[in-house]
Amino acid sequence: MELEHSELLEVPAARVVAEARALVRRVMERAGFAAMDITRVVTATSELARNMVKYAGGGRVRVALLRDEARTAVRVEFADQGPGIASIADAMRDGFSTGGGLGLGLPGAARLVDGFHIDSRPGEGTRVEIRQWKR
Amino acid sequence: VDTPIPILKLGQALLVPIYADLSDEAALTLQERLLYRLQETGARGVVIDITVLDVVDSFLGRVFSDLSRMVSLMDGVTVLVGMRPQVAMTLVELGLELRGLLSALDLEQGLDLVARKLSERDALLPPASRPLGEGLLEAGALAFGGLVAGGGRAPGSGHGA
Repeated sequence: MELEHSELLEVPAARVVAEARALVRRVMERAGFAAMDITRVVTATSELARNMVKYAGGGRVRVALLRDEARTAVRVEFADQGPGIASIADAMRDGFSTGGGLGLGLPGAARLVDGFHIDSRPGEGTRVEIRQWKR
Repeated sequence: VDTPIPILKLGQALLVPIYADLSDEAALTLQERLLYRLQETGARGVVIDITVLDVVDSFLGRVFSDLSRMVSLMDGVTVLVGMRPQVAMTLVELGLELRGLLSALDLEQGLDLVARKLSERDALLPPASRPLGEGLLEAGALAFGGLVAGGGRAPGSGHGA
């Protein structure tokens, strides 16, 4: 699969959660994604970017369009150098929160998109990737 | 959003047309401004128009839901209008419950709903007994008196007579 387009955003503060949404929306609109899919991915982006701000004090959001012969996908990566997640299984459970929130962030975001992948090591940070195919 | 969201008074309601994506900070500022405007204007309904929003995430959903409960403590009613189908689907998939929030399809129905809710609520209380505190006391006394004496008492005629 070929990388067609990629944009990077540093997310240092809560204000930038909205900018991450705007970035992903812009890339997906240009690529002609349907409104429903834009809403799903942008909402997931919002949850994940806010998680990064809340737990890691910031991080990076990278948006890319991927294309093979038949299909286009958008991929959004969230990488931080925060404390990491001790138990991914716990973090993926609805209602689990260590940040005083509703605990919907990770599992909620995962339900909204076609592909969800998370890597985390305590002390090293967390990397989350989501992917949505263009229909 | 750099320009503050307008808060417009329309009859007994405050109308809030959200015209662009809101940052977390802007959402919290709006929540606070609305409560102060309620107090200043004596309005009792809040109608939030989210027709242009294609994303309501868990944070904004919670701000709306909290606002609705705060407004209700101030004797008001909050209605969310114009939710797009994809926003409704996304909120449910996220697992977010917008506790306490009423919604209506569009602005017109939202304003109707506010009027209806307020008149339903007022019908439960003797009209002269507003504000809230006195109204509730008197309604309580009525029910109590009715139970004890089998009805026929004037409002506020007291307990245990």
